Amino acid sequence: MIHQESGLLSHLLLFSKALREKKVGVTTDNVIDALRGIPFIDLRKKSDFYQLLKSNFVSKKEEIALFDDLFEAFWSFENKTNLFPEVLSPEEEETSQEIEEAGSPALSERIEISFGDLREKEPEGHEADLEESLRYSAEEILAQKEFGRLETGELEKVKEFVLALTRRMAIRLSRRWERGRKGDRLDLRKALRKSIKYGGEILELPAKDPKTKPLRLIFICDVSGSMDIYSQFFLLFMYGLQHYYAHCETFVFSTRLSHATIFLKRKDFDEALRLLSTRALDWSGGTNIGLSLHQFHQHHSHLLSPQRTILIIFSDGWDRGDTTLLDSEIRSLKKQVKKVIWLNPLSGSPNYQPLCRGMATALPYLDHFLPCHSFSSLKSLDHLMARI
Amino acid sequence: MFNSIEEVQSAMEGAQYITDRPMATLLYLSLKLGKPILVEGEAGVGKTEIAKVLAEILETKLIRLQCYEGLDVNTSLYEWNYPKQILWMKQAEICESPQQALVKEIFSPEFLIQRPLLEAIQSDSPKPPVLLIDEIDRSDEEFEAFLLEVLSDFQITIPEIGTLRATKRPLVIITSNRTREIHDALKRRCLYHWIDYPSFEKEYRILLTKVPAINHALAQQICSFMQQVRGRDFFKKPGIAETLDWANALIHLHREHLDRPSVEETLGCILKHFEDIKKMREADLESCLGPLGS
Repeated sequence: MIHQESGLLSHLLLFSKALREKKVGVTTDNVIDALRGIPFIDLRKKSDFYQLLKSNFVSKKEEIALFDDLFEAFWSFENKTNLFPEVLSPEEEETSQEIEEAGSPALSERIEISFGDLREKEPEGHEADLEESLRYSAEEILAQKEFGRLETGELEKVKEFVLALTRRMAIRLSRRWERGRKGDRLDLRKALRKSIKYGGEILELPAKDPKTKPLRLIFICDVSGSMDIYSQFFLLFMYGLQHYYAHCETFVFSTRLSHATIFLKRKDFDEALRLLSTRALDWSGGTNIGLSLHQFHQHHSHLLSPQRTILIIFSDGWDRGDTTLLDSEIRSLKKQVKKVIWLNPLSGSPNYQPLCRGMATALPYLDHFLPCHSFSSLKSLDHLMARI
Repeated sequence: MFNSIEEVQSAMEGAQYITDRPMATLLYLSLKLGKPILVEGEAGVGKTEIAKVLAEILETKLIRLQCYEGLDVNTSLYEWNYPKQILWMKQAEICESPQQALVKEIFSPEFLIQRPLLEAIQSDSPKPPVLLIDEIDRSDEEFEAFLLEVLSDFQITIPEIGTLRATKRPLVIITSNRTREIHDALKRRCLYHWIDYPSFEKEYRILLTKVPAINHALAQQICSFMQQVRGRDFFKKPGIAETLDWANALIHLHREHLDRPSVEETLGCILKHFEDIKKMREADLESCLGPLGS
């Protein structure tokens, strides 16, 4: 029989604690399931034991490497045979025989009992609250800070915030809307319900609209030299959003436009950024907004729809190109989309005025003009999207 | 039912699914613990195939729920057959049958349209069915939450009928291509497995099993070419499905070995992106072929 005090159980608990410290979220239920699985595998085979723990404790590809390292360190049988005394030493083979004979019920009962206490003792409330509040205030301070002023340590934190925000935003965007009054299809379900009050006579014929199609977001991001620091954050934002929300497309431009969606679909952001800078044209060169919008209009107009497309342009508006082209392009784009939103990192500063040529040209056609220089301004974009 | 991991592995290989011990261990544990399996991996590495093979070796029914955006309870669980109910009511009215009985009648299982999840729970065959929930990453988050509820206790409440409980827990296999992250709560209910691209040896065995007509030399060339391709920078790397397609294509074209022209002709079998094909033609083909090309 497995001894709770000395053997597998306590080590498994320590192991799961170690995993949790590495931010692999192992729940008590996972540990119980792993223990339930033990009678079915051959404990003398390390690979089976490994697979049992891995399939129960890991839930993301990214966690696998972390798990592997820790597993090796923790269960390396050569150094610490005492971790597994009753199973591994050959003299005690009988013991493992016993386990098999004892069968699962007895074992799982014992586990159940010991875990019964554990569940109650687990301090779920306090620590979580504390962590939450610490996280919250840190987030508040960092959120206000301009992207350009972040220090190296803070960059990572803000990146995490941005990714968390995109997830929340995607959930909000993918929510479906309520059924409308007009429509051309009969809602038989409703018709039947309503007929009950007329004694089964169908007098009302409620209609249902087809489900509202989700909003399509099109981001056009300026990656010219003057935008360097900001565009990286904005690209991260789009990378995150694209990960969780299927209906968005990303374009980047400086003097010319290139389609970035496929690059940002990469699993790893740094790799996406590297690919984007090697393959997308003119990264951090000059700016020609008018021509880039023209190219977008020419090649990607199938993405436009007055009912469901939101066009979001991210640029400081410093334009070297022809403003008459910009003027005509943005005017005709405006007619083909539901909303045009312009995000400008410079407008975060209190004495900013949209005087530069490009910005002044575009301004009359915009539905919304927002600053975009810090995490909190990205959040306000989220609030805005919720209202559209 | 199986009594050891080895039995699972050999049964799977008997059904032409070449697998390794970790995968067999996973399936064995899932059978014994009654936990769903969540399989993730790139497209075309054989995720969906697992469920099919499992149903085959257990000689049971495979129930498949293909996920898509907007999938809801009515299309995944059950729906009342409204037109039939309405017709029934009209008929009852003409025959002047008593009201009370009518209500009971139209809300009986006869008027219920079973969708995959209900079918899996209601299954009355002697062996529990295999329920494949394919490409869960395509469904909405609401559906995921709903699925979590169903998978936690395998029971469904239909207000008019009552609670239906699974007599035999179906074996659940969930696949995801990772186009978006699955919620942690659902993941934690499952045994997790990541399927990687196969090693040369594994792919070679798969190829010989699935395409028996192939000659060994060509099979080796194909597999080493695939290993090369997967090591490069492409948007969409080819999976095993592509390897098999390609092998079949080459056989139909009566190619005995790989060379530049035959690869160029059939590039569409392995790379499905215009940019990838272009890159391959212009830059990578020679080096992927390596010594084979000459």
